[in-house]
Amino acid sequence: MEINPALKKYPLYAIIILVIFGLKPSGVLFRDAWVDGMPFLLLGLISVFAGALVTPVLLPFVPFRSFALKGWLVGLISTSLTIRFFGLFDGMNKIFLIVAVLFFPLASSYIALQFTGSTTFTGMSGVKKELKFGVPLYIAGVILSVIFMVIFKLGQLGVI
Amino acid sequence: MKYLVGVTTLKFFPEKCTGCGMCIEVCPRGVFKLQDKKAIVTDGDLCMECGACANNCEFGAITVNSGVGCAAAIINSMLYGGEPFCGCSGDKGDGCC
Repeated sequence: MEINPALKKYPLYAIIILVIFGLKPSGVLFRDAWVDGMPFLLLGLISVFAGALVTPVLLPFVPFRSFALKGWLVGLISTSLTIRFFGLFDGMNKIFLIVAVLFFPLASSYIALQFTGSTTFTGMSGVKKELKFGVPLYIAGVILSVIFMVIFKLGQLGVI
Repeated sequence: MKYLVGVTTLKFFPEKCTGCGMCIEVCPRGVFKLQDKKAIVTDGDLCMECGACANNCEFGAITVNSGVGCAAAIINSMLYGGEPFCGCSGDKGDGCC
């Protein structure tokens, strides 16, 4: 997946994140949405660039032959460095950190896997094998992330 | 660069090979070479399953399950059925971009 197609989906992702973080018993608060959702918006952008730009540029130098693993590794490093550099979740609920480290490297991995269509050495059987292992992990990662966020939100709303 | 090891569907039947060298000419990955007037597979893991060798071998000495090595195309074929195709030029399977 090139940067443009990935970024076309970014506004939808941003809206979902802003609604999740802005949702309060009194309605959707834009200040809370912006302040609390900012780390996730930034990490979303970073994961796109990690998967669609950094991984392809550094393709021969990133370990592993699997594009999914390459993307995951670059995504994990990019996510970790961004969190550390900006102190993104300092003083915030640890559940955000868990979701970020779980979700964003997987997003980079998925985006990097799309680059198989742009190389001159990947074959259909190899990509199918990657997808056979990768897709269940991507789905599990998304489901777990949603569960964690729901748990956090329910706790924030005082339901649990 | 080399992709995953041991996944290619390339099969070579040396008993059918006449040593014409067409596979060596058309393979973009250097998978074949001529030895003792017959083609041999140097490294099957180099194969990107483009199908050029099998399509151009008049003697049926090569088979390969060819198709696009593109995750988006394969995901689309999983979701909507049919063979994986690029679809980036609106060709709907008539060829790859």
